[in-house]
Amino acid sequence: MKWVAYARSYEELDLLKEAGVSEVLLSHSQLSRLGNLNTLEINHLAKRAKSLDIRPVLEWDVLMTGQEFSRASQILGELEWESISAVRVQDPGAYEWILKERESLPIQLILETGNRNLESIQRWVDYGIQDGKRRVERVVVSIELPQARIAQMIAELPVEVEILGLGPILLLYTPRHLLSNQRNDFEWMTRQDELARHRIEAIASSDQTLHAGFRVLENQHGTLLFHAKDYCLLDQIPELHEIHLGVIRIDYRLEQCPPSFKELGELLRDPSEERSQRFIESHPKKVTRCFFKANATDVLFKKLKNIEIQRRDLDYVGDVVEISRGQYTIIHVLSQKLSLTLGQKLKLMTPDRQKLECEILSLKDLDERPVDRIASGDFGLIQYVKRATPGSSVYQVSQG
Amino acid sequence: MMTRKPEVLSPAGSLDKLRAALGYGADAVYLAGQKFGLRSAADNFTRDELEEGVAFAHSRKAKVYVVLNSFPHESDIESLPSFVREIAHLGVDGVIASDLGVITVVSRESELPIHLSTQASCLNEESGQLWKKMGVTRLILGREVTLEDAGKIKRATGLEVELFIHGSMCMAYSGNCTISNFTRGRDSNRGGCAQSCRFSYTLEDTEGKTYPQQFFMSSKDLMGLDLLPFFFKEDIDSIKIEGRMRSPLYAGLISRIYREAVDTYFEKGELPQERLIQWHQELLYLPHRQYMEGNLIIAADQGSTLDRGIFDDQPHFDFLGIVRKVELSRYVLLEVRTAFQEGDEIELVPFKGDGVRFKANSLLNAVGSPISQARVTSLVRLPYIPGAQVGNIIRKLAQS
Repeated sequence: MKWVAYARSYEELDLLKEAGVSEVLLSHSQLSRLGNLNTLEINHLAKRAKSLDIRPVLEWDVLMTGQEFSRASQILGELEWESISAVRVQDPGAYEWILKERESLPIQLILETGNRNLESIQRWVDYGIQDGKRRVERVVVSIELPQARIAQMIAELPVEVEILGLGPILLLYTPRHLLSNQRNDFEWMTRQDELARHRIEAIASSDQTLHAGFRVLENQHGTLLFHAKDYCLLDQIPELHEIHLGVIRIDYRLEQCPPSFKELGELLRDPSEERSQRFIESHPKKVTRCFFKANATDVLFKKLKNIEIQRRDLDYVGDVVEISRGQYTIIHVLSQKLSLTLGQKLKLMTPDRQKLECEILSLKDLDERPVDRIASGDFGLIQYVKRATPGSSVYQVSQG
Repeated sequence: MMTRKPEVLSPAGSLDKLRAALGYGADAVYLAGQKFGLRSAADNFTRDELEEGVAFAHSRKAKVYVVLNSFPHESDIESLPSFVREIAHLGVDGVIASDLGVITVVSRESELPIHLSTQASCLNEESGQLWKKMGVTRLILGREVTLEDAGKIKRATGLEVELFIHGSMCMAYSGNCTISNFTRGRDSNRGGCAQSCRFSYTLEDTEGKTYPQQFFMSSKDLMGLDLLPFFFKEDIDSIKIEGRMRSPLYAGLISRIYREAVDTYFEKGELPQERLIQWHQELLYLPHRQYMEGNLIIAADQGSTLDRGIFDDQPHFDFLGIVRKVELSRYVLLEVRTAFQEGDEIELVPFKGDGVRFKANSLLNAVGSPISQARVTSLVRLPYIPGAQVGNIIRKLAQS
């Protein structure tokens, strides 16, 4: 398993080399959400990396409207591509551009947003096959995928798989400048040094449970909101080896100081519980591994609505729309297939989850004339059904 | 001289909302089945309801698009092929998808047109080109795309283009927000969005100074009515209204306003001032946050954020109910959704033409006995109103 990290200076590059890194990510301020390097710095760092036998990979992860794409294209034209070993992209437009404009340059696809199934990821990879040659060398998958799914992807995909090993958890990405939008209220925006660097930071907290301590970062690309805790799989290195993970990424760009690359390298080469605990304890943020063991973010959906009054097609007749206590129950026949008939046996599901059964003993139209049948779309009065309430679903009891 | 009108595409969170939207003039509706959509809390459609909805729409020469725009995990996608075959068999007119795995399955299992959901954040021409090769027939562009850029994307790709014209907006690039996932354990990209962006937050700057609670992540609502001429100019194929969770009143009235506006502009080449004032007034009386023109003209940024409470505290329409039956010369049967009193000034909104205002006198219950108050979840007979039709909405202007 390789590890990759961000190089922001010659010094970091040298330290990463010493720590055993064979590939570094270079983030351009115009092309990367958290980038801070200019074109000249990218060109120099890429050359230096190559001279150290490290693969420099350009990160181009911003999403772009047409105008932003044009601005990015200018930057792309100034890059010394021969020094760059690969490029990683998220915007499909960026993927398309690289496929067309930079023939043979390997591509790393950032598929951390969406792309939770193999079918999707496989298709993204296959799209990059040109003249029988696969351009995509790696996919970066979501931290929302549990270990078992990551293992399945590693086993079935024809390319390397990368996952975040330590770094901030991005919760929201918008092109809107949400902090400076409040400039009337925020004194820091008047500080020229902050404005010049297009970087404003704040912590956002609400009264709602678990909605506290969000790190907010505004820069020229908009606003990024991060979880209070960092994502960390550094205590899971043996498990990651076991599933044959190709690449683990370390992202410290939100921290004032990078971690000790030496210790990190040792931990990744020779993991032990003691080493990982020591490293995690020295990390400036609390950490979490979120969904790595299991992702059950759909189990609460059934509680979002009252499934008892959710219509089920089989034997559905209609809904109770009015009750007159002791006198009658009015049913609106909504089924296109079934009607209300005298003597019919019914099952009623009330909104408070009671199941009632009755037989139609009396059936009338709204003018209280006795009838044998009430057809689709119309209203029928039956006898008062104790405990039934408006909103109850009415089903025919199946024969046999 | 206009050559064609954009499609008015309305939300249909239930059969009632579908009938309201189409009755009041929508050309098409979008809705979800029980799975694969992004509104788990909405009623959503059962198979039989979908069949009814499609039949109803097609009888009016209108279209039905089914949203499959979640980002499914492996386990979710297993039942997708059979669902796709089923909706194709039911005759739906297209699907709305964002996940490439879903798009692949839909292409394999059916010949249904595929509309790329705004969740995919297609923002530029290059991205549009890529999606075209993936089999997409219509691009529902990201809400960050201006009308001018939308026109360029349409011309560059040759694909149909759909843009949101009205309703709630995500603050994030659509599909790029996972706050609910990590805070509530509910996957926002599988229908569990907890609207964390709508909470108020206290912000603390890097020096530890705190600032009052504010809705810094909550977006204003989009209202693009005044920009309709630009939708014509850029030859946008479909104008989309957000709001599957809103009431039938909303689905009906919003469809009516945009229907009238599109027809008026098509016929006259302008939006007469007196009509604009009238439509604006109606839109102000519907539930909404502060309105803005979104990013339709200028790039997404300043002005997007809500700067006062959640909903405007202004006069609004109360949704009194839906006409369920019309007995010629005798009565109009109303299913009551909001209580009202005898003597209240209320209004029947016909599918076309001016509303009919009247005092709610001579109220009778479902079987014709006098009452003084119309209770929620009851049926009420109103005196016969010439021109009233089943499905008409009755409303009351309420002062907050």
